[in-house]
Amino acid sequence: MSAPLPLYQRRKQLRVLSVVLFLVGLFSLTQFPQHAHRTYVSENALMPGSARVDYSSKDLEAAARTTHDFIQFQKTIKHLSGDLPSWSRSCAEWIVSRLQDLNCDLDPRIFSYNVSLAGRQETRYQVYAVLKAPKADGTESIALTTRWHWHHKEAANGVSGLGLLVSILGHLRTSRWMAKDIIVLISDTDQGVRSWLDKYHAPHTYASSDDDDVFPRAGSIQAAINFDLPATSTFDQITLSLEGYNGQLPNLDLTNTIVRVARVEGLNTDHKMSLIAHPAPYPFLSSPYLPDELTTPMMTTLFTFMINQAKGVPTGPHGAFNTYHIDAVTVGVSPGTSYNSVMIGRLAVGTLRSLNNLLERLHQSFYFYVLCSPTHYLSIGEYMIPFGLLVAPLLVEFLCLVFVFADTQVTRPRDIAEAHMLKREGKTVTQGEHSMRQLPALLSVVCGLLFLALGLALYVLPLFARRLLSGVGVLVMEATLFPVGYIPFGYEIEFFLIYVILGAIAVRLLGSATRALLGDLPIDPSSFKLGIMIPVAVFIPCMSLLNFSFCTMAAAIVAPVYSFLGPSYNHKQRLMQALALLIVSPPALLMAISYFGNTNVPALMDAILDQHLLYRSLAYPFLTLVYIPLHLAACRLISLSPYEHSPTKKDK
Amino acid sequence: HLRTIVLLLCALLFIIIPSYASPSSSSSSSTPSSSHAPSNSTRHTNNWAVLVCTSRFWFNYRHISNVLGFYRTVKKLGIPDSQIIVMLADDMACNPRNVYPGSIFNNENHKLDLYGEHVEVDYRGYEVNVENFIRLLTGRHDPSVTRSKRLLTDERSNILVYMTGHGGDEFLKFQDAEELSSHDLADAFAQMHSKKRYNEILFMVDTCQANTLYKQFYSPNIIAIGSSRLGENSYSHHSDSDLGLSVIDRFTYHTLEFFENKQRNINNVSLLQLFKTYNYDKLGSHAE
Repeated sequence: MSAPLPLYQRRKQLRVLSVVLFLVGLFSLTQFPQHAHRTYVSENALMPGSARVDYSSKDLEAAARTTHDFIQFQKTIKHLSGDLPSWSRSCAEWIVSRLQDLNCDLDPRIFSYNVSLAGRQETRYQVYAVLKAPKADGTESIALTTRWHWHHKEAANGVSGLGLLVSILGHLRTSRWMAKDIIVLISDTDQGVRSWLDKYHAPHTYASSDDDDVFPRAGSIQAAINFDLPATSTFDQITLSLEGYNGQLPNLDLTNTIVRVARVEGLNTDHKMSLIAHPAPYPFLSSPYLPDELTTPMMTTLFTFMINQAKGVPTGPHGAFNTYHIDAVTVGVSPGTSYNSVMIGRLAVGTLRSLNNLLERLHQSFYFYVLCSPTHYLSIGEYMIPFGLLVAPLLVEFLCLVFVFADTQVTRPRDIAEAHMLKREGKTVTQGEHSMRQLPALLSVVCGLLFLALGLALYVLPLFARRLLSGVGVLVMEATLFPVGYIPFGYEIEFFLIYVILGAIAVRLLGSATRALLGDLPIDPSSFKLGIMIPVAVFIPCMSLLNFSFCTMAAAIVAPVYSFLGPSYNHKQRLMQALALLIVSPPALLMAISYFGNTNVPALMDAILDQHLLYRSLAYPFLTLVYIPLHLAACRLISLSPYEHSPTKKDK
Repeated sequence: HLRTIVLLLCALLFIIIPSYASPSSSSSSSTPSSSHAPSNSTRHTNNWAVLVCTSRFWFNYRHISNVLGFYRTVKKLGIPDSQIIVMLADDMACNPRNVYPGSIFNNENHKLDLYGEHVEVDYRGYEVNVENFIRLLTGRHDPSVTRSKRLLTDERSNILVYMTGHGGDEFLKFQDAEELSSHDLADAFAQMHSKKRYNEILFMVDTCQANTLYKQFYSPNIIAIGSSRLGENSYSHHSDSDLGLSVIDRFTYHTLEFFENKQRNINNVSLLQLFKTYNYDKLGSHAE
């Protein structure tokens, strides 16, 4: 009676099972809105909306006045618009004088910082002030930030972010409930917030800093709210943006507080509050080609949320606060006439009052969640299940390969006993079937890992030789002899060719290294595949804890294609595999992303690198460390013969 | 002969010593020789109150104001400060979040400032903990503890013990850090009984699932009432939009209202009348 097959040898059944799991996982992603829970405030101390807000139309008028005056001032300095640093400085000085008129104790400061835009370094200026709470001990504070723009569209009684914050400062002057100081930061770029925060938290002593005077601080910042308002007197919806660096999110209680305060103030939070900033960043999500179930407001919100999180780019300057574990959101509006802007002021003051009640930082609610609307969430315990299903093919295949490899490494007891017996009889020992595969298997894994070395080189090189590479890229893109732009998809084809050529060179080099290692031994395809799958099988599950959306999308591409590749004799199968690899090749993916993102591939690559350096987003490490080597190695893999006994090279 | 002398001496000793040992008991033994057992009301000579608020933090303002409301009522009805022990776990009047600094209100009409003048708080802040509370009840203090922090009751004292805060099934939470269990409380009262530290106790508790706290009492002469049953929450009465929180709980509100209305003929009021005023519609829970 033959023994039952070990699990890893039931490959076919396992593969079918994992495909089914994958499809179930994809389907369950679309079921998120139905299973989302209603949000609730976890922190009892917050009590959002229980205190009456006194911000009235009088304060709104002050805000409108400030906005109007600022716009008029900007018109007078139009001649400076060519020289951004001095323009920035004049605006900052105007704001400082305005704040000083408001309250002599405010002590507003100008903070200068360096920003690199379009390759140049520039000095810019921003204003910050600390409103000290008279009865509090000054150890904690809440930050309010906003941006001023080049120019605002003039709207009658319009209230911009600047006007709003100045009016809030005026309103809070006479309030007696403040237990935390209020920091107001008015900047002209998003990087300004980052530089200010770095300086605020930098632990150098006064003697070693290069300030002329002291940089006023206000203790530890408990939470921050950024306002992104055009100069408008009415609005239609309030938009909340949550995503920070690398898709990290603020505590859900901050969102819950804002939603509840808005509800108490009369906003219809079910329909007039949204997580999609205006203008909608991904119009293709509402395209008529998609089925109806996928274009409901909740699905669109969910997909927008996931794409934003996957990109890893913060959706507003509030992202900078996240690096210092300060919960922050951006509040914006979409244009319309449903509500008066006084509601934004009341929302801001009400949220401040609620955050004021906190005794410690927000810690009760979730940090890892997925939102289908400002009032519906799914926590990490729930959204990891579809992720697990999506990763199933990858992990099942990986485990099978591990078992196969382990099997080749184990010498069965029968072989050992036989070997001993033969030795005693003085006969030569012939190796058993298993041990004949031991060394090639081990070395094939190492050959697979050589591609990881390629990935490391790809990751590190652009960081050091950025200028050199972009120069080379420019040369290649622009100074080609052949007028590529005139051919439809000319640039895309050229990009593809570059990848193919460079890829072939890389694979050749690695092939020589493989030959050097293996010598006359044959490559063991399953161990080779094990070696190339190690980086991706480690990267995707581990990084999913950090940035769930990115890893879900990566798994959705990688798992179905790369799990079941392998060398085969069947030409048709080989062709199918080659076609699949073509579709998901890095150039094809980059082109697809740049098409949907309305950009071109070199700009996209530049952006990916920049974003990784600034925000630690995952696209760059995934592409260089994991994906390109995986793709090249997979091409090499499918060109192997299933049982290669002779060291013949095969071209891609 | 020697043996008989020793025996006689021992007999003498056994007769003389007891008569020296308990002169007071012999004199006091005469009084209870009347035909019926003395009723508790004739023994009762003084009243005490122990008012305990066990929770801190700004959002538990209403527990402080519950206790201060009881304090004011109890003082008005005649118990002097020297016989009231007030335990407040936090200070709301000077909290920077208080828009009326120095004042504590239990009604949104703000007519009555409970923290005005002549408020004596005996245990404050972190002194309000389970250990101090049990020591207070049982009288086991360090010799250095002052008189104002002691419950100097005797067997003729009627004591009102009022506790408020956050509670649950057979426990009361102190300061967000520890709990007083119903068993410990019952044992403390039992000690009080054996040490003859009370005549009667009226035990009132206003927390969630309050009725479970007195389930384990096994000493005589204790009447206990809680604001809600097992599994029920006790609700606050109303919130104050100036302060931004609830200022009083329902059970306490209706109790204090009862005493405000009964000031004139307070001598003829019985506990049963008080208990009859509680009903589910007003409280949202079963006070029993």
